[in-house]
This record gives sequence, structure tokens and C-alpha cells, in this order.
Amino acid sequence: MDRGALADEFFRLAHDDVSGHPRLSEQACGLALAAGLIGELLFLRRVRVRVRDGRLEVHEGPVPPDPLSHAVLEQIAGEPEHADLDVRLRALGHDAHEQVAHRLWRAGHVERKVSILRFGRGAPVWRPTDINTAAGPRVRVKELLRRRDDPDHFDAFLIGLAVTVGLRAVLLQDGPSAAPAYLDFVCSRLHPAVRLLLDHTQAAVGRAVLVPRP
Amino acid sequence: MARSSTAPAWPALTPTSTALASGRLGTAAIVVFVWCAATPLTVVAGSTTTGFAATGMIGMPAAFLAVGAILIVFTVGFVAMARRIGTVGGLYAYLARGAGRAFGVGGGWLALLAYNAVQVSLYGGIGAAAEPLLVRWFDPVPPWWATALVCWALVAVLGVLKVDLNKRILACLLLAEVAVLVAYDVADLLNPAGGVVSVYAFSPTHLVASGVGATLALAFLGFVGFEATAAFASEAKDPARTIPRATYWSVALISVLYAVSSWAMIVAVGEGRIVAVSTADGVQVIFNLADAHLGRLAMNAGLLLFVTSMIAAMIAFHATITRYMFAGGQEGVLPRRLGRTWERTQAPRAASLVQSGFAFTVIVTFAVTGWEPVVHLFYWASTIGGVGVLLLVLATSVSVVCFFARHREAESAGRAYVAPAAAVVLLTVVTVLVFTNLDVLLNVRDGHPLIWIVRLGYPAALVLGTAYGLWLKAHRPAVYAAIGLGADAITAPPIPAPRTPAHSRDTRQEVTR
Repeated sequence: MDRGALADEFFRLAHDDVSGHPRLSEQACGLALAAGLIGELLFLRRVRVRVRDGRLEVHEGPVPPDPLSHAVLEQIAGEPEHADLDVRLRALGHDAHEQVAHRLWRAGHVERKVSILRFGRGAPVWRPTDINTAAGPRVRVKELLRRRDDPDHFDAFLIGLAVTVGLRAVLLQDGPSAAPAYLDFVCSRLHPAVRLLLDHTQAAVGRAVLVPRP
Repeated sequence: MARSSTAPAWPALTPTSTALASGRLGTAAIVVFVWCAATPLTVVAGSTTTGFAATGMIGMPAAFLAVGAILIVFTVGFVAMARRIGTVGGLYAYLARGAGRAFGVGGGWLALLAYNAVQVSLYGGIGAAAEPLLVRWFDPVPPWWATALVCWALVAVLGVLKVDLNKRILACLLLAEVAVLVAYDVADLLNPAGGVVSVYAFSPTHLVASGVGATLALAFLGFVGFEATAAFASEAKDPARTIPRATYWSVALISVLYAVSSWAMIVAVGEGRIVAVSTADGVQVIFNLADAHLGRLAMNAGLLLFVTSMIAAMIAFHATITRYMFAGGQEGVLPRRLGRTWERTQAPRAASLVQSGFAFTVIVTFAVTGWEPVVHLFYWASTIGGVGVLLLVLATSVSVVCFFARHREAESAGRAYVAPAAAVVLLTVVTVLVFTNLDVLLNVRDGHPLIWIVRLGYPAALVLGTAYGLWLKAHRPAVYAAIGLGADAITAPPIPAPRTPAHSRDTRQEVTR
């Protein structure tokens, strides 16, 4: 099965396959998608996470294939003063949801629905145009857990990210009884740089819980 | 695939500086939020009058000013430390970073006890607060516990859904509360009892009278919530200036408003009668005065805002407690389950349910046993909770001193040493006075079991919590290292382990370099 970009695949996991309603809070989803966008550049070998101090480093390499990855890379490269992972996640998390949704919409994977009850205010719902594509990553991960396959870096990142922001139950839904243990095993074997990126994402989500929002 | 013409254009990536600045809070937003937990009408109408009745003393205005001044001194070092540690945790994080992580655990236990006492106390008062309104619609008036349970359900549901009250609604309610209080004060001062406006209530002699500890404790209770400004350190527009400003403004405004309002009440009723009238009318004193001076409409507005202010306070304290438990769960100091959230709303659901469960148990216990709710729940639990927060603030002031003893650089001597040391001395004096006057404060005979519960309970929480912290240091060094870090516990530098099993690194995958 064809896989989309990392952030697109996470977007699908984080939204209902049919209705497109979010499974995560707006803030957590934005932060996770920001991690996904950074992850895309990680896999393109255009950025690296420095494990020793949690900063992003830009490397020479191929031009990212899509405009969003390109824009994110340009922003990271152009602002070395904001190379700190926490700062970058926070900044990117601000509009990552909208950006990834637009990328999916451009490719025809989602359509924009604005609820009439919201009188045009608030975030629109991005409804998948094809249920099978939308359910793709969820089905793939479920199958992987069932067969106890060794995930590649892409799926390992996706699984780690989903578990980090609380989508564990979505991955384990209707799965075999041994799946939770295998899921933990997969998460425990993530590369240190990916682990660090995910830990910073989890901390950012936790901080959002701790700060009162007046 | 072709997209329809009504579809939005690809949005530009928000510039980093704009994205980082969005959602940051200014001084006014923080002050409003802090005041919502301080609930001016609840304090003036509820705690002050109940305090007059229970202590038989009229020194509240002087006490509000004195406590305000002491807290301003405390704030100097407190915000200087907030600026340096930039934590989002509660006061226990200050204890952990200043006086040691183990002490931080003790502070956390103390905080949970104290804030829970304040939170559940509000359920005891809401029945009496709402009764004048309910009497018009219901016959007979529902029992206090029915009103309390309705509010409890509201708080419990909002807590699990994490529906934050809209800040504009909160600000409007708060401004309306302050406007009503100012109007009441002006009317009271224009209609003094016996035609004499006396400022005797402000006299410093009240601060050396016997039983002053009780008055000071009640005044301090009015300020509980001011310490929340520190929780915003990481979210403020300019933490170096916004947090100090917000804290100073909160303390100063609270102090002046409460002092003037309690004084106006004394002037309107008369120095000689305020204790007797408060004993007879309880929380209704201020509204009866408004009815006489300003008319029915002003009284009804005040009664309605009294109820909404109490509900806002219940929600605010519920949120404070769940955040303490969530942070403890994230660190591993409390059960990890408390550190989990409901993914759809990011509400710390387990923590919220635990707090709601506790509040429910208290309400039902009082309802079943038939204990009197206003004095025995609202007054006792809130004052006992206030005493706990006072101890917590004292412990924080000690931690500030410890912190600056180790981080001498970049703060003036006044901010780093003089003010924190003065705060420790002043807060110790207040705490000792409060602990020796607990009988007056709680209006019970000396030697009453309640007094010993307070005298021994809080220190026990602090000592046992600290002991547990030391146990963690010996047996769970990773958890110990994360104390006070809250959500950042996960990214804390790992403790260098004496021996790492070789396979733990070898089995990790190699990904992009």
C-alpha cells in the first residue's frame, strides 16, 4: 500500500476515517503534526536532531519534494536562533494542522466542511474523500502489530508519535491481546534522535495541560 | 484533482516570531485569571462576615492591608525566582528547586490538602449563597446539598471535558463583581451608622490585639490564588516584566478592595453592632445593606454575582488541584495514571475524577450526617485550607532564600536576600500567630480535636512527603531527579547509571544520520 508523507499519515490517524472529526485536542494535534513535519525532514536527511542538546541542525541534501516540507525547511534553516526543539515545535505547532490539512486537500484526499452550527467560526472539519485511504495507516499499523512485523523507520516513527500524544487506544482497537506488549517493544526501540523529538513533543503537550488557559 | 473556486488558498507558514508570540498572556489577562480564583464577592460577603461573627473582632480592614504588604515583600523574591526557573508547575516546584526535591514532595502533599479543603468548602457555602435566589422559584427551597451537588456536577463535567471558561466571560463577571462591590462600598460610606465615619478599623492596634492570628488568617484566605501568577511564567508575553507586574497588581488591588469593602461594611452597620449583625445575618449582611441603600436591583445583581463568583472559584480551584496531580503523575511522584489525559480534550481526566470523587464524598457525608454546612464546611474548611496555603507560602519563601543562596549572580541584594529574608520572618510571625489563635479562628474551645488536626495534620503532610521524597532519592533516583519538572520530567537529563546493560543500546535501530 502506498504511504503518504509522514505528517499526512499522522493526520489520518488523528482524525476519524469517515467524518474527519479530530481524535485529539487541537493543541496536541498541532504539536504532533509539527513533530511529523520535522520527521519528514529527518527522513530526507535535511535536518538532524542533536541528541546532546535537543537542537535542530540543517544539512545539505535533496530539495524536499513538496512545498510544505520545503517551507518548513527554509524556516528552520533561516532561523538558526530558533533551533531549539521546544521552540520549533511550539512555533510549527501553531499552524501545522492547517498546513497539513491543506496539503491533503490539494492532493484531493480531504474536503473542507464548515459546520453551519459554527456560523463560519472555528476550525473547519476536513472530511476524507476516500475512507480506505483515510483508514490506511491505521489498518497498516494494526496489521503490523498483529503479525509482529518489524516496522521500518517510517512506521516506527508514526507509531511512536501516535502513542506519545495518546492515540495508543486507536492503534490497539480490536487488536490481538499481545499487541500492547509489542507496541511497547516497538516504542522502546526507537532511534535516540526520534525518541528525543517525541519526548519533546510529549513535554510540550503536557505543558499545555499545566498552564491555565484564561 | 481540481479544487473548487470557493476553497481557501494555501496559507503561508506563520513566521516563527508571530507563532511564538500568539497566545501569550499580558498582565491584564493574568490578573483577571488570578482574581477569578480570589473571588472578591465570596471573600467580602462570605469570609469577612463569617469572620466577624466567628472571631468577634473588627480588625479585618487593617489585617487585609497588613497581609497585602507582607505578600508584596514575599512577591519580590518569589517573582525573581520565577523569572529564573520559568516553571509551569505550582508552588511545590519552587520548593523542589529551592529547598530540595524531597521538600518539594512535602510541599506538594501539603498543597493538595490545602487546596482541596478550599475547593470543597465552597460547596458548603453555595447553598446559603443561592438560597435568596432559589426561594423565588422553588417552594420549598431545595436543601443546600442539592444546590451543592448541581454545582459539583457542573465542575466535574467541565473538569473532564476541560472546557475552559471563556476569558471574556470571566473578565466581564469579574469586572461586574468589582463594580458591584465599589457601588456597595460608596453607598455604605455615604450612609454611615450613627452618621459617623470612623477609621478605627484600620488602626494598627488591631494587629497587636489578642487573637489577631485569627483575623490575619482570614485576611490571608482572601488572597489565596494570587500565587497562581507563577504558573504563567512560561506563557507570559514578557516573563521578566509581565509576571512581577501581574503579581504586584493582583496583591495590591485585592488588598485595597478587601480592606475598603470590609471597612465600608463596618461603617454602615456600626463598629459596635457588626459582630452581632454578622452573627445573625451571616453572608447576607452586605446584601441587606445594598437593599437598604441602593435598592432591590443592586441587591439582586450582587446575589447573582455572589453565586457565579463561587462557581468560578470552584472551577478555578478544581483546575489548580488537577494540575498539581497531573504534574505529580507526569513526574512519577504520584501514580502515573494521574499524569494521563483524555486525548480528545487533553483534560487530566483521572486527576479530575479523583478530585471530583473527593468533593462528592465530602458533600454526601455532610448531607447524610446532617452537619451544618455554612460554619462546619464553608467556614472551617476554607479557613483550614487558607492556613495550609499560608504554610505553603511560608515554605516557598524559605525556598526562595535557599535558591538565591546558591544562585547569587544577576540579582540585586535587595531582591535576592533582603526581601526574601524579610518575607520569611514576617510570614513566620503570621504563621505562629495563626497557629496559636486557631481556637479563635475556628471559634471552638481550646483543645478541640479540630485544632490538633490542623496543628499536626499539615506539618505531618510536609514531613511525611519529604520523607517519601528522600525514599525516592534512595530507591527511585530517576523519579527523584524529575521532581518539580512537571511535564518536562520526560526530557530531563537522565541520571548517569552505574552500569548500562550492553544490549539496551545495540538493539536500537539505526535511522537517518
